[in-house]
Amino acid sequence: MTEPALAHQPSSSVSSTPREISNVDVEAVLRRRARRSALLLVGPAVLWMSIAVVVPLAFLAWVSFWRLDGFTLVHAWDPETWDFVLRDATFRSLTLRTLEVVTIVLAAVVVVGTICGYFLARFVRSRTLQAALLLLSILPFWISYEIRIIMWRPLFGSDGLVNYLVSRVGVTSEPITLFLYNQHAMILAMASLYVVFVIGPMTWGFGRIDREVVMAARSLGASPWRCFWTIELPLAKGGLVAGVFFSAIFLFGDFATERMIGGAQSPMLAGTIEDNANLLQWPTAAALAIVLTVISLVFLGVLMKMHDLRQEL
Amino acid sequence: MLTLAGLLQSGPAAAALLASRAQITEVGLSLSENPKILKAFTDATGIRVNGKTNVFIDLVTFWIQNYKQYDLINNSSVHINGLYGQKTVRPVTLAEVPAWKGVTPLFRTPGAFGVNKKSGLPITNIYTPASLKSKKYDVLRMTPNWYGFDAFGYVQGKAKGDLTSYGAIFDPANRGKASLEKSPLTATMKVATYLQKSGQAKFQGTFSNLTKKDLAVVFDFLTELKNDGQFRLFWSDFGQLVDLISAGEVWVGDWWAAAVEAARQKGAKAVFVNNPKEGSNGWFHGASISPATKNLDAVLKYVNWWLRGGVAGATLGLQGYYSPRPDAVKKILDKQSTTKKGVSDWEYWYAGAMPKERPSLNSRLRNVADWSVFPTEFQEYNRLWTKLTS
Repeated sequence: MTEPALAHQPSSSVSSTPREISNVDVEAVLRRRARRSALLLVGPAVLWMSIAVVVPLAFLAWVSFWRLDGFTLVHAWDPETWDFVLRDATFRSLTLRTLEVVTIVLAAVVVVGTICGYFLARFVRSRTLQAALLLLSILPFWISYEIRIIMWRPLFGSDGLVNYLVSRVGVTSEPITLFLYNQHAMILAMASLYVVFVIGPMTWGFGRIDREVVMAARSLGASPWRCFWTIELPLAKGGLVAGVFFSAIFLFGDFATERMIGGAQSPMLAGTIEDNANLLQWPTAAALAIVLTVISLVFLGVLMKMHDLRQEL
Repeated sequence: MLTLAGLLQSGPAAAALLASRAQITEVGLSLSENPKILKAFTDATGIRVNGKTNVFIDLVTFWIQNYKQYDLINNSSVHINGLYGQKTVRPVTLAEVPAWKGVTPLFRTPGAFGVNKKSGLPITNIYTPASLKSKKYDVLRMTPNWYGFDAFGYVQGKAKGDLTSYGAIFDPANRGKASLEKSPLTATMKVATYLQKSGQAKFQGTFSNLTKKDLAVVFDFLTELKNDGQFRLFWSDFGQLVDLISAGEVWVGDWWAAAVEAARQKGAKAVFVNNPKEGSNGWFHGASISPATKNLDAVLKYVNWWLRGGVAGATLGLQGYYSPRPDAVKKILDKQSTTKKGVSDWEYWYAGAMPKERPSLNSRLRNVADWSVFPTEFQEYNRLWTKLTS
């Protein structure tokens, strides 16, 4: 197969060191083949991503330029919606609140997830028990997202378990709604829903650190805290970034928790998109969806800058 | 060769056989997609109905995205302007709905008892704009299936002020314990009704279809109240509302009658005010046909069947909703007494035998401030509402 290729090489090269030249050429052919194979392998994924992500996003961008003429949608190229969305102070405050809530929830899931992950990786010696506990934390994800949120109500609702216990103990005679229909409840629920995305990767991140590295640091006089902060946590950074990555993806798009647990008291971008769609404001909903997508992508881009997740694969 | 047309022409037996295989697909609230109602239709006609349920807030977007896969939607009239404007509804001629002539004049005849003089609702939601303009009233964009009236509710012993008026929702005595539905359409309607009927404002538009100037007044009022901490929250779903009422978190608000009843069953001393002094907000649900339907004959049979009242009307009647064929429902409900001992279901639910619990239909029709509609300035409604709630 390589013979014809060799026959076409410049004569000067062939005459000088024929053996070396042919090796270089073979490598080039192999590289070309590898590129072709890579393209073939990545092709279906690119095609799928184009159909499932790029085309809908492009369509969304197009819809954001449509115009409402009475109750009829006019398929135009009208920048009015974008002018409104980018200039209106309401949408700026919605964006800021979205970022604020996402930041608070991410901080909570990072702290709790890191502690849980560290505990599982360092203090649970039995591999079986470790896997069982990890599985237990993932268990709620075997049921649908909506059901998990709805389950919050029987727990924290006026006639839920918490209120039952509180009234039995005699703390209050009337049911309390401390854990429902306010921003604190929403953040608490979001943190509890998404912390599992950090626990898993952090358990894996801490678990793969060679214990002898830690022991060496300890034997050289490092305190457990210094050891954790300067050695273990940096080495588990991949797990942390992966956890935050997945939590953030879900958090930016979460509107059900805001509604059902937050009582729609702290509107965010995702919920506002739904509100606009329900009132047939498709251009505004589309423009806000694009804004949310851009924010998410920028956030994820920053995360990737902090740590290249591809190195973990 | 055996063909569909040949079979249809071969006699009633073959037609019945075909009908038994016909199936229509519908989307609506769980109330209309009640298996008991759908089965009654199948028993009567042999046509099966595949009824998909969806929640109120998602029905519109679901229909606009999926109407080509469905034969009809059973939806609130408040959305019909939007659905029709986006060409997702097939108009129906009177010739296609022979049962129309039996429907109560409230939905058929301009100026009939209960029809709002200023807005022309609910009639203006029923007919197509062209049919209204020509005054022929011969083409429909939706047919009414059931209707009711929204007002407000309160918790006895806690809510203060004039408890016969919407004013209780805005009374400083209930600060922090008042609530409004998280909907720019219904909340503004309540506020506008209250402000005008109490002499605090005079609106150019109708209560459910306010002008931009009117909306500025309504939202100034709402913003001031919100900033003063009047509202505990804007409630957004049935379960949440029941929870809040029974927990004592809210004392007064534009609550749904069914949620008040559910809260009562959980021990709350909740009361629904059927006929507030400013008047209630009427609404109705009905059928609109998909322009993409391939089962038009079967769909029209279904639409006509609903318009005849009967089982559907009686079933919903026992849940507190009125039928546009009260005469047909009376024949069923008059013979039974399942709600209050010694009182027929008709007397209880329609005739006002126990007026404090359930006033008569006539008294409620007399007291309608206006009917719900998807407003012309809906973009402004949405803009101001987003600003208020964010």
